[in-house]
Amino acid sequence: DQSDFQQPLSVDSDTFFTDIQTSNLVYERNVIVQQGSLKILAEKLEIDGSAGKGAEIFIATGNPATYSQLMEDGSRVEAEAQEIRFERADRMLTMTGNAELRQSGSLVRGALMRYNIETQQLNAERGDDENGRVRTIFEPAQRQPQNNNQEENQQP
Amino acid sequence: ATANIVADNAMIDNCYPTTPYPVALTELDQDGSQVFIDADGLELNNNQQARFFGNVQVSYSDTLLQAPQASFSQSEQIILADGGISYFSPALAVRSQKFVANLQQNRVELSQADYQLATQSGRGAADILLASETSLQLSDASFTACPIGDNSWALHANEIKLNADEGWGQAWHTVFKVRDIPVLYLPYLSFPITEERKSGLLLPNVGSSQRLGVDLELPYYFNLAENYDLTLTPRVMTNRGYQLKSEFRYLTEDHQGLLHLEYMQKDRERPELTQRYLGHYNQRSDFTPRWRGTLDVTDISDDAYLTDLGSDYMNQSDTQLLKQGNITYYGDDVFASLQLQDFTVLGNYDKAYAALPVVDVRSAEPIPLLAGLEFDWQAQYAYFRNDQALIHSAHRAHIEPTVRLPFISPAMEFMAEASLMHTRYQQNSDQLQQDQTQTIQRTMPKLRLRGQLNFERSLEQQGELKVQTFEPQLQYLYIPHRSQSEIGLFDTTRLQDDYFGLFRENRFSGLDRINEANQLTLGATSRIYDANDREQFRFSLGQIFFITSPTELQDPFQQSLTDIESMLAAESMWQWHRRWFVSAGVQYDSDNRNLIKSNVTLDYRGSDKTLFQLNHRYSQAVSDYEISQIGLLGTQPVADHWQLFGSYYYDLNHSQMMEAHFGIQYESCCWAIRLVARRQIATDLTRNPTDLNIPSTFDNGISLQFVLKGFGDKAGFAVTDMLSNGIFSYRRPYLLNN
Amino acid sequence: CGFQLRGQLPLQQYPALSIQAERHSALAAVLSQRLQSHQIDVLASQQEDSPHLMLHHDSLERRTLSLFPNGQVAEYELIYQVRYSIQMPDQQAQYFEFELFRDYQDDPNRALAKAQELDLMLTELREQAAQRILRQLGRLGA
Repeated sequence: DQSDFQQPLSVDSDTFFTDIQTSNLVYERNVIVQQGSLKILAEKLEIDGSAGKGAEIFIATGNPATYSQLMEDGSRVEAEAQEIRFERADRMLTMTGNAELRQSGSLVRGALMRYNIETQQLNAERGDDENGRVRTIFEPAQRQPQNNNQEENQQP
Repeated sequence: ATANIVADNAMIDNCYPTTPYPVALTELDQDGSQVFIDADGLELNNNQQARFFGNVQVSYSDTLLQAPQASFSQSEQIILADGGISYFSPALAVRSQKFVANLQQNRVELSQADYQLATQSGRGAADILLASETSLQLSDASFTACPIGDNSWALHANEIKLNADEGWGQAWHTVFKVRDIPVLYLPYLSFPITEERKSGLLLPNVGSSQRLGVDLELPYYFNLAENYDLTLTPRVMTNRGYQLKSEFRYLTEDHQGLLHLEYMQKDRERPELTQRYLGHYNQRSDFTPRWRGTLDVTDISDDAYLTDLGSDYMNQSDTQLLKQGNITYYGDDVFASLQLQDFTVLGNYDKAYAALPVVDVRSAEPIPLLAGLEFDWQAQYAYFRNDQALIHSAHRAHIEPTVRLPFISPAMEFMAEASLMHTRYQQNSDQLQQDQTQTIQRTMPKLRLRGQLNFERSLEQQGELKVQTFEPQLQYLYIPHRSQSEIGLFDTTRLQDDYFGLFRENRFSGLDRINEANQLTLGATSRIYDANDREQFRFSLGQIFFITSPTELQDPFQQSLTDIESMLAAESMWQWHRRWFVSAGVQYDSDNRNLIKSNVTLDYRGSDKTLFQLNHRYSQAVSDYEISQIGLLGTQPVADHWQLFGSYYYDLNHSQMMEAHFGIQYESCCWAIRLVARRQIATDLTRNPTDLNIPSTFDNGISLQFVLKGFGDKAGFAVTDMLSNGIFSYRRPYLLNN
Repeated sequence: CGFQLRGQLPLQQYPALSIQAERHSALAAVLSQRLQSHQIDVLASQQEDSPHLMLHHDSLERRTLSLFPNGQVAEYELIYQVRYSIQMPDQQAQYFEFELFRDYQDDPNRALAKAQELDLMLTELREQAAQRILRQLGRLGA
């Protein structure tokens, strides 16, 4: 939820170095980013700090890279994609490469997704290849949206 | 012969080219309750409101929606879509502009919709179309069964409701259009939409005959509640007047019943009668799992009602009306039933005995004794009443214990049975010379041995592997002579001896006569079954041989009963070719060398639209009248959509025609019309049935049967339907109470 | 001429069978009795490994065969129709339908006796129908 962004942000990984041309920090192998209930796991993380403190851009890649966070209503959001871009300033997640986002009672799959964590608005678009359409699955209504024990969605 | 005619749906196929269904419809997860949505783009706000765009496809349980864009609210479970929409469900395919689906109530609403029914032929347009699980509601809509581009007829109505379960559709403020020309306005119209409800109800039914003049009926269906309904059928007969027919039906878990009333205030042809009615009521009730009650009562205002007005419920030439009620107890060890039975006999015949009541009690199952022996018992008390008979009332009590030894093996079946029959009568009559009441007793043993051998062999015919069976049967029956001539005949008459009857224990229907017997019955049946086990040939032959011939009987009650002969009976059926069937039966009295009864039927079945039959019946004495009669009937398609049919029955003895039908029928995809010319013998009850010197009177008629096809999937005229409106082919159901 | 005695009772390899029919169905009662006499017991409910017989419908109808000169019915044809289906273990249910015919002389002067004859013929028709269903069961089990 919003209080996550007041918490300290930590990044751990097996190795870490600075890329001289781009002056970006690069972490590799078992990268874990944590800030309150926000958690990103990835193979490789590149942080572009050129926009200054608090406006960094985290580019996590993996097979897949995953993101999860608890929302105000206690429900959990999870996502995975080949590449997850997290822009700290406007709290925007951009996922590309068979991205998938799960929230209680719904699952969305598509080639490109933009998720605004603050407004909880998700936009998804199809990829150009033939079966890259956006697929959404809604669970039956009887479960209240805000229960927090996240049911494991069977992979259709 | 059990030939079943396969309905030819080639006509249906070329009328309605199958509507193209998207392939996605096949991969639907029938019973899942998830909603799957594929689109080019999605916008989802806090996991509640979703908007989809770019050829959206929504599938939910067995339905599918395709639209340019759609939105879904997770909390309210509502799907909205607009633009060029197509929606598919198992019952329906719809093109429309606007779509609202409420998943919780499983209801879908489409506006400016063009719909096509999937399970049956029917299409149209509607401003608003509401589809729920069982019913379809259309407002400002049209409905027709004609294929696309064929405007032969259409219903335009403010509101149409089609309910598949009830089998009826209803329309309010309907304008009926033929080729887009308004022809008829009806404030309310009901029409059958499934096969069973059609039940011979042609809509509307127009006919004319000398007896009735022009005869028009139009049924109205009222679905009063989920398990009872009412059908009212006003009828106009220009020669006679107005009649109202009604049928009220109800069905619950344990009770089912039907009340059928036909009422006519004034019949111009019969002014002396104040009113004419037919009433029929039948009911079956399971009070508890073991107790069942049934009622079957029919009554009419005057004897000539059926022959003058006809009825949906009885054949014009029926002779008796049943009034019967019974209570039955189905116990584990004992079966018991109490039955009241009375008849109204039409025409000048003797009044029938009434059984008020008959109480039957018997063992529900044979009781096993030692070493394979079985014990069985049955008992009956009956009180008969008939004021016009010599014996106006009688009590009868009967008890019959039996010991039986059955033996069944694959090759042979054998049964030995010995029983003792004891009957007591108390007969009351005011004409007998001695005292008024007479008590009679009769006790007689019965021994019966019966055996059957089962032979089989396989057979090669026309390259097909068949099985032929040979089943010889033997029965020895011994019943000593007892004088029974003082006993009246209450529920007893001579039974007819066809092949199946040869092996009966008693050649009379009731207990008042038990024929003396020291006889041997030999018989054999041979059958040939084809590869898919259909009986293609059957021939049975049997004869009763008297070891000691029965003593001559001087029985005042029995003069009209033919005496006991040594009877030979045969019965056969043979499908000698794919299209040709022949079946025959004969009964022959070998002692007096005369033919008692014979019948031969030759059938040709070309396709299911081409049928021909030639049949001949001979019977030496049916109520002392010799019957010899031939019948010819057939139907043949003559051109595309046109079909001819006819039937002709001729009484050889009396050399007069009994019934002749000739008809032509045009059947297109969504309507059919049939013109039938008919000349049939008019039943004249005032005449003695076998009095030959008065010439019979005939009734000629022409009837025009017109049906809007498409109501009910195979609606319209089935081939058997065509041959089924004469006296000879009208099938009247019996009420089986168990 | 190649005939030999039938070697095997129908449904020898299925010691038991379940029947589903309308409550108090007389045809079902006749059929159960014949099955028991063939040493096949009738189970109360459907079992996995034994055949299941469903009696959907049995009805008796009457059709006019011949008339007296005054137009009244002289002879009727009784038509007993049976519709049933048999489901052998782990197989699709197969649907069967047949009609049995008997002719029957009417005699309005003895209505009660004729009704008695009709009941007797209905019992005989049910025996014949049970025999026929048993034969079909035997053919399926073979």
